[in-house]
Amino acid sequence: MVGIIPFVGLVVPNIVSRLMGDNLRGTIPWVALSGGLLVLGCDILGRLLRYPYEIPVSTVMGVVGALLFLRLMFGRPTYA
Amino acid sequence: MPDRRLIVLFALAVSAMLAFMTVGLRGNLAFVLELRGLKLLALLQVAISIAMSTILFQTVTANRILTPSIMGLDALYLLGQTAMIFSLGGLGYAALGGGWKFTSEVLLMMLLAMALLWPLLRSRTEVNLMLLAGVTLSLLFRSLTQLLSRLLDPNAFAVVQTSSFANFNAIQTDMNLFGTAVTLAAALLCWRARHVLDIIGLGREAAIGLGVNWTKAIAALLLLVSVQVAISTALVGPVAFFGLLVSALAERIMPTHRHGLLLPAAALIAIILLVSGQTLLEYALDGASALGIVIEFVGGLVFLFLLFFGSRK
Repeated sequence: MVGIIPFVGLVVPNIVSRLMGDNLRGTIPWVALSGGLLVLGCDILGRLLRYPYEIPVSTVMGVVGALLFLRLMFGRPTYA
Repeated sequence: MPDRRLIVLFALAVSAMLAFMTVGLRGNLAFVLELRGLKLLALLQVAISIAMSTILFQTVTANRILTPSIMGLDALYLLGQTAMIFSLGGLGYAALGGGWKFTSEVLLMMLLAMALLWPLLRSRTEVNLMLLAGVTLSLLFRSLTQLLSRLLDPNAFAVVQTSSFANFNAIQTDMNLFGTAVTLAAALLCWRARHVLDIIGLGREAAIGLGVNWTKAIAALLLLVSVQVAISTALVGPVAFFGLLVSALAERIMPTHRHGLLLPAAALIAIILLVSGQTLLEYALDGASALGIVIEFVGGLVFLFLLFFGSRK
């Protein structure tokens, strides 16, 4: 429907499980909600950055998602 | 007495160059030879830069799968270019001469590379994490480039397009003299660093024990790699897997860790592959396919092969 949007599937579940643990029954609704929130937020950002023109959500998501993912990868507290 | 394999490689490289200059010659000789000569010069620069930067990078990171382009350095160069056009405006950028343009782009890229890749290289990260970070970083750079070019006005965007349009069929030959000088200087620096590289290949602890200033050496090598990547990207655009292909071949042909042999072998192999490939596609197959695509295909296969079956350390 919208082409490729990178990083959503990679970042969102990881953040949610970092916050709420990994009990899927508890987290799945939150994953769905926050995924929607993130993509929507990026879309709004893309519409605002160069108003009245639009920037595709995949581009904005690429930047935001990559930054989030790097943060997740290297900001991780090391267990064991 | 140079190694016999090096001599064979050298002979092959020379014959590839001769073939490139002579196959299917007709028409106005002076014009054709000048055209081909410029192209050949650019191809040589690309080959040497990619081969040497890949070997350097692999030695510094101590593994045989990472290459500068997998870590997103060429995407970084394009990002720097777009950022410059973004800040100077299309006209201001176009008003800079070829040499100044390239110099400032390289400086910007060095700055970005130091800021973004330096922490990654300095902390001892595992290979897998490094690979993941590299892929993510190059995606980030690419997205940022796209974002910036979306923010540009159409005129400036046209400048971006013309300056990043380079590929093997449309080599940018406007900065040949300057580029050649930079390539030669970088290659010379690599060659002079060959013994230090041998020591760095032993690993961090051993190198420090043998008296190498690790931080300084790694920083200098990262800068050198950035310059070389900038040259090749400026000339033919991003080439993802060529460096990997070349270094893998060089390791097979020269099973040694001595950079005095490895560096020239890699450069010669790169020259042979690029020049003969271009000759074949352009004059024998009448430009039926693009060299870039063939190289990415073969190089990608090599990458997968190395990932799955590992390589000799």
